Formats: sequence, C-alpha cells, structure tokens
Amino acid sequence: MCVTALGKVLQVSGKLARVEIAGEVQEVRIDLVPVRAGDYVYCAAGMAIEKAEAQA
Amino acid sequence: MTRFLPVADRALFLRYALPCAGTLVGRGRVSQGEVDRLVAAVGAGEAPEGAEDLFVVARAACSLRAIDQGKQAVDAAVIRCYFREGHDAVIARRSAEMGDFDPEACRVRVGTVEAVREQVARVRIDGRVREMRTDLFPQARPGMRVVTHWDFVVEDA
Repeated sequence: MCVTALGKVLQVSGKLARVEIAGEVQEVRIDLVPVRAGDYVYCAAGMAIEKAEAQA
Repeated sequence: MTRFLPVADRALFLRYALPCAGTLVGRGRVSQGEVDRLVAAVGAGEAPEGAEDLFVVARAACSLRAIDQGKQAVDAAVIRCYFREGHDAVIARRSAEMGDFDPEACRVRVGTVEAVREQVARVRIDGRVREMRTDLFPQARPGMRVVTHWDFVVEDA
C-alpha cells in the first residue's frame, strides 16, 4: 500500500467522514471503505482507501 | 476490504495509469523491471491480470467517479473522465501529501504530434515541444492530437 496518511475517524455522515490525520481534520469520502467513528483508516487525496487495524 | 469497482477496460486504465509508475518505483512499491514489462505488454495490447492493483489511488478515484455517475464499473468513459478532468487535482493533493514527485511533470495534457522517430514522439503542448515515449501508444503519428501523461503518449485525443 503506497498511501501513508493514517487517520482516525471522528464522525461519519453518509458517504463522508471527518478524519483526523496528523492533527488535521479532513473530510474524506468513505464510499469504498465503510467505517465508523473510532475506526482507523488509510487515506489519500480525500479518499478512504483501506481500513487499518485498531491502533494502541 | 476496499470496495473498488471492477475495471471494465483494463487496457485503457493501464495506458493512463502506467506513466505514474515511476513514482511507485521510487517508493519501492514495484521494481523498474516490472514496470518495463508492464509497459511493453500494454503497448502490445495486453492487460496483465492484476496490474491495475498497483494503482490504488487511481483505482479509488475512478471508482468514486463511476459511483457518482451511477455506474457499476469503471468503464472507458469513466477512465477518460477521471484522467482528463480529475487527475491533476488528485495528484496535486498527493504531491502535497507525499512530497516525492513533481505534480507539473505528472499532468495529463493534450498536444499535437510533430514527429515520431523510433519510440519517441515530439509533441507540441501549449506551445512547447516535449519528447514523449510511444511505448504505450505505438500508433502515434505526425499530425495526430494525443493525450499525454508524464512522458508518455497515452492515446489519440
């Protein structure tokens, strides 16, 4: 996987989620990766690409 | 599991996506040898199984564009729509995120072929002549309007 932006899902609203990545909150499309608040997800260019394992 | 939509026109997707592979080589995602093999195969009209999996961001962007258009698969129209209209904005964000490539070099541009010699075409783009590889589109001929990506001719415009 070439993406490096790991973020925590703060809030989900339809096909969009607010994801905290490196201290910044971004709005990310989650059409391809169903997630819930509290999940961790790899993102690129405003798109959720892959769900990550829970972070310690 | 990521719900990518299936790529219906894999050969076209690979012609558009492969020019970005140099960045993936730099990240260690794929070897230059494998990229060279893929370029040769796609230029010969093949679409090696699973090759589209290398281009995760492009697949995601195309999948979302297809979803927005109410489609169930990434077809030729979606591929062209993404790469010709949406790609440059996506790679501008990716360049800001990754910092390991020049988004100006990666832009998809349309130009006119002025000359072709062996596997190199001289293409006039925005008033400037650039040398482009024709490996992915050996049909390039002088006078043809073509789409280019990085330093490759991709298809006729």
